[in-house]
Amino acid sequence: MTLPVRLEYFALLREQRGLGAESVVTSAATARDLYRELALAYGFTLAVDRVRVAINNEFASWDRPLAANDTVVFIPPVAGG
Amino acid sequence: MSLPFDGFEISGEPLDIRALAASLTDRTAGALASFEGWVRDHNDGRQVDGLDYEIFAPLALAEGAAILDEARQKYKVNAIRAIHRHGMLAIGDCAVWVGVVSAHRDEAFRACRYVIDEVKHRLPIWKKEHYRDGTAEWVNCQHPGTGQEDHAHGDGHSHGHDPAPAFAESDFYARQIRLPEVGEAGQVKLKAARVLIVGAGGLGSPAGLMLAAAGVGTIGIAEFDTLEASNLHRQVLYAAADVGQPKVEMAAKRLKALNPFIDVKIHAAKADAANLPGLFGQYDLVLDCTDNFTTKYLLADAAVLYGVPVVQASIHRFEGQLLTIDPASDGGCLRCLWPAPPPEGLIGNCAEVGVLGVTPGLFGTLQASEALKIILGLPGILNRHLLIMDALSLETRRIARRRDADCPLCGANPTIHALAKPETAAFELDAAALSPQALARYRIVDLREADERSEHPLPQAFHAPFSRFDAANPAFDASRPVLLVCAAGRRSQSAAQQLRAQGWNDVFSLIGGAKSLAHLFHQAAE
Ligand SMILES: [Zn+2]
Repeated sequence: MTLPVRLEYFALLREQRGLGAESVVTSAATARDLYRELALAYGFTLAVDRVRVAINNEFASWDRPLAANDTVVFIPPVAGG
Repeated sequence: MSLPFDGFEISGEPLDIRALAASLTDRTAGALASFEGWVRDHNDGRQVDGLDYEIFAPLALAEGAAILDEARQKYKVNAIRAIHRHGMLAIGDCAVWVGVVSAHRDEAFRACRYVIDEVKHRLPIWKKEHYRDGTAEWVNCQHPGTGQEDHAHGDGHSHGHDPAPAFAESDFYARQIRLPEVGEAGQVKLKAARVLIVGAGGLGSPAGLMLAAAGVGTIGIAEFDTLEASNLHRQVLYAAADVGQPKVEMAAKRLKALNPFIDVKIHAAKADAANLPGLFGQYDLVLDCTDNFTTKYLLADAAVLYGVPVVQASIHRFEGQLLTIDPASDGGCLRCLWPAPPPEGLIGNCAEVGVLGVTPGLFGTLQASEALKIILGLPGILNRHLLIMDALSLETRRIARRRDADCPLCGANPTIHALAKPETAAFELDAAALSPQALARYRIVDLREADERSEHPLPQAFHAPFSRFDAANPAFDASRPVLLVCAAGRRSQSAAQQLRAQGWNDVFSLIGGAKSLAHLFHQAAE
């Protein structure tokens, strides 16, 4: 089964992905599975437990099942000033 | 009856708007612009039944005439008439009327606007508001231009004494007091507020300027660094002539010059587990304007441990994050989001990745906005959200967050009960403890990128930019002890950790980076 989802990348992940947002069709069941696929494809250096995921403007558990048309935002911590 | 056609008056009788306009329209030269100010039924959230205006007539008439003269000089007008009521007025009564006749509407509008603004601002008029609940209060919302409030000197912490300004403190805030959300009561709250800004850099500069200008009564600045030329493009508190000076002193001087009515305290130390409990005890609110994970986690932890809200901003290139850690809310803390800081070196800092000055400028200003909202009790505080924004696309997201029951700091079974003590690992060297002779033992490896090396150059160093650093295959060998140096000591710490993990024993990281070695080279040259 595949689902269309909207992805957004923040900070380091934006740089490593090379873009800020994209729409994809995924067969990943959870946000965690999706991040792992993306990390493999684009060489993300941050492990999943260093990043937080927000689904539809709410921080979510990595185990949350994805639904069609979810907006999924991956957010690493930043510290610049 | 024909009214006098031109000039400034005060009246104890209800204003006859039609007659006033007619007295000018007789002389119409093309345009009449008029303004009517009415008594409204609320102020500062309270229901108002009526108003009692008290005017000091001799001064009001002289000042009013002067305002009209100024308007006649500034704008091409044929006639101006302005009249202000005194005595008891009911809701909907006209309290002030201004009419301007001119050949051109633009000049008429502008002159009318000028007169009403100046009348509101300068005339010695007090109003007593009668509230629906039967009480009444004198509201000094129109301020006489006399300096009744003198600058009271602070408690000795403030530096740089500028001459007392020739205006009252209330004049300073006139435009924000006009907002019903602020008012006189809000300005009193701002004056009573004590806000600590940790880090007077790219974020702390705009935050400090905005809070000082808004009249936050006590502003503390915690900063230990000296100003460098490469700070100036984003740290707008400072001037070029300040380079080399302690930032905390220059920042306090600038804020006091901007607003002599506030107290500015300086804390010339790096925030750590030893001094934060004392600092948090002196302030109602803390702004985290720092640039490193270690201090950010210390401040975030202190918010929860000492019960003082912390407004935290962090930026990365063109993006930034903003949140308020409010121990009184159920929004949780920084560790609810990211339980521990990432390993050093994984996420670049400003020196490594670069930054445009406006990005911390935007986020420092947002921190000040958040602080003012908290002090004034306004809605929309980010205590249950994280704001993320990209300054390039201007996309923003407000992401809801909640306390995590598993949080090591604020969860159900916390494992963190105190601030982390600074740890100096055995592989970190402090320049203060190094002599030129001791330094000569080491092969100095400069991990900075080519474009960073002109600041505090290290002539004897071997160049190995961190961007190409590979611990498994470094560009230097271990035939001599190695001292790794970068701009601030973070990349060198990361590289030293990685090399030690590869089995290197004689490799060290210099705390504080290249600038902390400058004095040694100077000594060696002598
Ligand atoms: Zn927490």
